[in-house]
Amino acid sequence: MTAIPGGESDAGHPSEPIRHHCDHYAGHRHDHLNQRKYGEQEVDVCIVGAGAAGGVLAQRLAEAGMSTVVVEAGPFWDPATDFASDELAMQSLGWQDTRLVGGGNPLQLGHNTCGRGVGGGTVHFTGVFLRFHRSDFRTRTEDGVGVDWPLAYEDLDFHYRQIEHEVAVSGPARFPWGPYSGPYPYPARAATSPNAQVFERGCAALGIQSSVPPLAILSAPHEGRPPCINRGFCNQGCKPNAKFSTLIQHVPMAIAGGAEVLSDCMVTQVEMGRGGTAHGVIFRHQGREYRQRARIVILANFVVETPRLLLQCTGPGYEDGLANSSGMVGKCIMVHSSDDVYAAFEDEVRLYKGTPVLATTQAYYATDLKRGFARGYTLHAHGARPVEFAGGLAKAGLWGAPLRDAMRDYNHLGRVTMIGEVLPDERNQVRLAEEKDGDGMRRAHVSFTYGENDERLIEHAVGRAKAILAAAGGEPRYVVPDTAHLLGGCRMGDDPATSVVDRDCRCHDVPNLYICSGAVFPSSGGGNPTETIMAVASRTAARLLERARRRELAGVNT
Amino acid sequence: MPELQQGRYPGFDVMDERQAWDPVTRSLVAARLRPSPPKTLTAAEARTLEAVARQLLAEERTEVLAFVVAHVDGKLRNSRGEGQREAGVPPEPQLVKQGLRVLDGAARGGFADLEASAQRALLSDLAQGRLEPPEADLTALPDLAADLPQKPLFQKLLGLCVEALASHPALWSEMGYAGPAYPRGYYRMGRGILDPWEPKPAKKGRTAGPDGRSQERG
Repeated sequence: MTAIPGGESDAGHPSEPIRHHCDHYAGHRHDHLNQRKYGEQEVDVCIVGAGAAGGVLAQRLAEAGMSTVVVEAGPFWDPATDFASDELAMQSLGWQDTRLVGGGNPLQLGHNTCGRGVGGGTVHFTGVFLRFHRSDFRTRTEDGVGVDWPLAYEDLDFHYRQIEHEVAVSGPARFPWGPYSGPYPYPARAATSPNAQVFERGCAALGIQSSVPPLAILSAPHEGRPPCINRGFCNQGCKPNAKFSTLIQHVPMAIAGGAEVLSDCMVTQVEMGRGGTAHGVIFRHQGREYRQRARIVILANFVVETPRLLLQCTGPGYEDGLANSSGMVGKCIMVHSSDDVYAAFEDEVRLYKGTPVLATTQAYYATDLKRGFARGYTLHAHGARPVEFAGGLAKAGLWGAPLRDAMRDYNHLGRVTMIGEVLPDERNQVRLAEEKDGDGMRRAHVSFTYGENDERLIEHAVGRAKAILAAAGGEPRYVVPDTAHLLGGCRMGDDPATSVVDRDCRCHDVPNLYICSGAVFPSSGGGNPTETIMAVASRTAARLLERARRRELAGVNT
Repeated sequence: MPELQQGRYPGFDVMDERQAWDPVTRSLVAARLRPSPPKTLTAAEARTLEAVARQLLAEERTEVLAFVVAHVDGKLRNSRGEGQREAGVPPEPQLVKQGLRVLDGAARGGFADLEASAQRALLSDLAQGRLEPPEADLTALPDLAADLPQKPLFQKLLGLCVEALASHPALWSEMGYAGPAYPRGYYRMGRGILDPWEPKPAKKGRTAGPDGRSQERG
């Protein structure tokens, strides 16, 4: 860990302005784009976005010998100097640029769903690292809702395993739900938080199985990184580097493997050439435009920005947006319903202590039609720090004296948060607003409305969360409606008429354009999606490399 | 419960722990105790905002309110964006400034000059989208009719004020939040088990130290 000189300054802010080099490759860090590794040359692959998927793709492809450039809109964070144990200051880890929202349940975006900067959402995710269940890939076949994936669980099993090994996932000796019960590379986290103990007690009283979840958080040292010290600020960037992110794991490996990362560079256009193939991207840095030419372009810029970029790239033959012959670009975005349930306890709980999620149940994950809805959800014991806690109370309608009274009860509250599956619905979509941003790009408009199945699922999950808290001796007090995660908008499928990319994440319409992120998910599952996003990225890289090798053998030059 | 007006941890000041925090965190939290005067809001707007914050947050301490005002002022000037904005709602800086003007108008002059109960009544109307121009002065609130959605305005003001309040160390002390924990971490993790620097509640049958801290050591 780098020592920081100075300490507390009179100005109250770090005395030196944060310097974020924009141009990075092995042995080189530059503040200007005149030292680019490849400059005007064409590279093998240009990846837009350095998040969960982009980081994995860059590492896989660079290490396989492809010349690789990653273009990332946000900064290249340094955890030692840029991260603080503070919620307000760390809002900057989210994608704060304004999106317009609408629909029956307008979404809270920003830090709630989208990362900005190298590492993307993995910098501020909770670290819960769950595999999807088999049924998540076949909801149409099994339950008659949503659509099936063109992939099966078995297609990702190898990649889940590989990612878990790289990340040194800590997990229980036997995880009770889903297709994989362990073992995990690292032992389960030993210390348990008071809120997790409340949850375990409530579950036990009701005969519901609970478990410490698999976490992308170290339980023992790994590659020079220390185990978790229960600081609790997973969502604000892990300062000790005990929690995995692609910022500290896959991106450095990619750079060591020869990749270049251009940070603080916002892609504004995919450049198309003759023959319907992509030539590269145009991006902006400090008000100036640059170009990166590439034989393959991969959009890993997530659920809102990928459709936004594609929809505003138009030309002859793609008047409605690039890769959009199906009309599905931007359609069927999904969130997870993520209502928080608080209960008051006579004895203190102290929600600030420890890793936010240290106990979980997937006892309600599978469809049980007796409950009156299809699909299911995960429940987490979920810690909270003051800003998120008080903000939730305000969302639940408290202000003035009642708000302050509730805030004073902070240490006596326990919390359970649901992660509920939301079914795909074409009304829920990203489109272009008329309003433009500072770069002259039209802003995204994101509309979202829960469906009937979603609402019933939420009602059931909130009921179970209350029951667990009550069984632990609590008195259920507040329900804060919330969502978590974003998925879909460029779904994968075998049929070019109803999907944007194929099972290898290659656009049906543009053979050398890939989309790889949570955007390709046809369904949302009922648990935290990051591991699956990374497994899909790992598979995409493997398939892309296979294809490249075959073409090389056949003497084809793309 | 009047005994809870000071919170459950009288005597606990989380800032006493600041030497245990990393320098980045320490410096930005300490700065909240010395907020800068507003640069974007006019003095009159800042006065109205402070009065609004006093009621929204049930907070009387001028130093805490000064930080809330400074935070909102900084947001209007500096932020990359507001994450999301409902279609049809004006951008954050415009919404807040127009909103403060509307509240002054609805108060027939200065919102800050009203009695506290009258201020709360106006804010309650705003929260429910029922704020109306004062009788016989229908021109006093041109914004309200035109393009100022009331509920989003209320939520915006409340959200900005609450995130600032909950970031002020005085509130951390009041809530019994033991504060940032890097590099030392939390190690005594079970329910009812406290690290030595965590505040211990002043409660019958338990002995808190004179500083409100736990007496457990080792």
